[in-house]
Amino acid sequence: MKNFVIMLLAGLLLASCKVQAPQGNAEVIPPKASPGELMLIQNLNAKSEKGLEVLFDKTGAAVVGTLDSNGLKVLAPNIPAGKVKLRVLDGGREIFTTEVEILATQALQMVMQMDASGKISTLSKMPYSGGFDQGFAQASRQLSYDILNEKGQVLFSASVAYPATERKEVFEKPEGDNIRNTNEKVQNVVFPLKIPNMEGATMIRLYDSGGDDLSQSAARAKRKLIQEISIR
Amino acid sequence: MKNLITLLSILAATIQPMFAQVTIQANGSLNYAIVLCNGPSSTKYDLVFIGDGFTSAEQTMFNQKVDEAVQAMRDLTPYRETMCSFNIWRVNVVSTQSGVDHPKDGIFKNTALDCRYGNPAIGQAERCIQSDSPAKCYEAAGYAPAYDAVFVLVNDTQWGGCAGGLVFSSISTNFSQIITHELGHKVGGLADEYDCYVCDGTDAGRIYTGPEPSQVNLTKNTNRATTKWGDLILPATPIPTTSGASTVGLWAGGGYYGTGIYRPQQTCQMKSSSQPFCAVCHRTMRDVMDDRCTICELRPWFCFDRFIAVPWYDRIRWRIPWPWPPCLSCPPDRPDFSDVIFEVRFDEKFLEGSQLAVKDENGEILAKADVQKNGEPLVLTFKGNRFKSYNVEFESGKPQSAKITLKPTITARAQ
Repeated sequence: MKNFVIMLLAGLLLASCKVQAPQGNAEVIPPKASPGELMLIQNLNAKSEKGLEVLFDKTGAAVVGTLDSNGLKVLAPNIPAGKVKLRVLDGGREIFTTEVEILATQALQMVMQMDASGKISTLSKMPYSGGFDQGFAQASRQLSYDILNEKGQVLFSASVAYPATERKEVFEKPEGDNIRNTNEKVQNVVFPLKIPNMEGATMIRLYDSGGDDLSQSAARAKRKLIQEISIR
Repeated sequence: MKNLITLLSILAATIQPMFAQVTIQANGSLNYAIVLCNGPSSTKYDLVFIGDGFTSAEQTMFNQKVDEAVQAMRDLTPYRETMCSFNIWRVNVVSTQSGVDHPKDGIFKNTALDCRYGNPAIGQAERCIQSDSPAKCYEAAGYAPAYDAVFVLVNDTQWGGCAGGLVFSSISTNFSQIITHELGHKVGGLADEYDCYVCDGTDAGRIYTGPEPSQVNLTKNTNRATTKWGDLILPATPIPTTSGASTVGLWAGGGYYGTGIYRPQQTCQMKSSSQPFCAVCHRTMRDVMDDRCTICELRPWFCFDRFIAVPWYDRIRWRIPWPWPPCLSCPPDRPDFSDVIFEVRFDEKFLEGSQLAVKDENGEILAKADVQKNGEPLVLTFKGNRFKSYNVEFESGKPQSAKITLKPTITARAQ
């Protein structure tokens, strides 16, 4: 009998631990989002003293604001596309859970290194939740790029300012000395390039371009090919 | 067998991890901290601050320095008015040792991002701080949701900084000026307006003979009708311009050349980082940053201009949800909106006794306006706070038999 009471009490204790706050009409809008996009968790009816925490599976998401004291604005975290469990925790206690879908990012970020000869290598490539480099840079020298599919067709084209090969000192001393720049050339330049995450894209071609208007086909034809890099 | 071992050795030496591991301090369940978030990264300009030479015990100091840098933006126009264009993130990188390398003095520290001052022994300017492992800097920045610019603050009070793809700065006095100047390059695509390159007297008065510069704040075109900022040059302003510190004209010097090229004003943030932006740079920055803000972030009252018409019988109560829900990131984090004056106006004619009241979330009346005389409009002005929500309640003086529609105009403006 004693054991039964203990087991009963233990069972009740366990059950009480699993009791969750009523989820009411809480909902996530939109239920599908790309990393970096805002998702609104509405009608949460939670008044937390410890602060609410939002997890997408095991990854924490930035809570960037509240909605009328009754919901949260969260940024979808940078995790692989797919369905995940969104959980809202209050002091570690789950008060709301639902399934949401993380969509593929619109962009990929490649961190590249250019050596003194101009050769470019890829240091990393990862999904990127921000935007991608688009349009043509207004610069006297541009790094232009085309994204191609397996058939060699150009899917996308853009340019960025040519990665800096000289360092600048961009300030003056508080006591008023003027800026000085050195003529030191940097041997290796590491730079990020944000490209669209396009279906069917297999290759990126990088070009050295002058200050021409690359929206004109004649200027594009004059570009000097630096390298082709697989982005498969 | 020997060949196999040799081959494996070569392979081991060749195959390096794409990124080395950088140790960071998590912020709760996040690998970064939100300094300022105004919306999706795809629509905002994302800045990431990372630190080098800050030990785990010095992370609070790093956080404070980031706050100082952000405050510098808030203090300088046009950043001040357009903070809505930015997301600002902080990644707390932990170094084993405090400080960074000073090769000139033979001081070397074990830090996460391998930052150092320049080495004069190999022809580098000492004040030019750089990292010998830029890939680690990008790795650290990659913990943030996104980045358009990466600022590396190094834990050293000797004046110094440098900019290439990454921006480096020490935490010496006025280091935050580097942030605002560099953002001029990165956000606005603005050129430096310095009239020399080495600036030790050996390169004074260099003559620019190149093509028309692509940047908006430099030109070689002296035709006031066609020059880039001709619309801002008054007819009476002489060209070239040589007097009037605030006069927009064609001032000789810029882009590291002393002559043959012109800048818009005598001083500018892009010439001297202790100065405000000149009119041309200000306009350019504003154009770019405005594009990163929603209309309701820039002018929140636009939301209210479209305020719904409400059916009304004898009493209407409605709430001003502020921040206003349809704008996902509205209002922006605008310091000039820390205190807001709300004006609620009905132009309809009301009966005596009609009342308009603003209440806080607890129902306490914060401001009230009554129709004193039949046929008067109702106007109520009160000072609110951008972080709070308010309830606006209207009650008619007498029950109305007919349904009418009210179109209140609610404006919010900075003090």
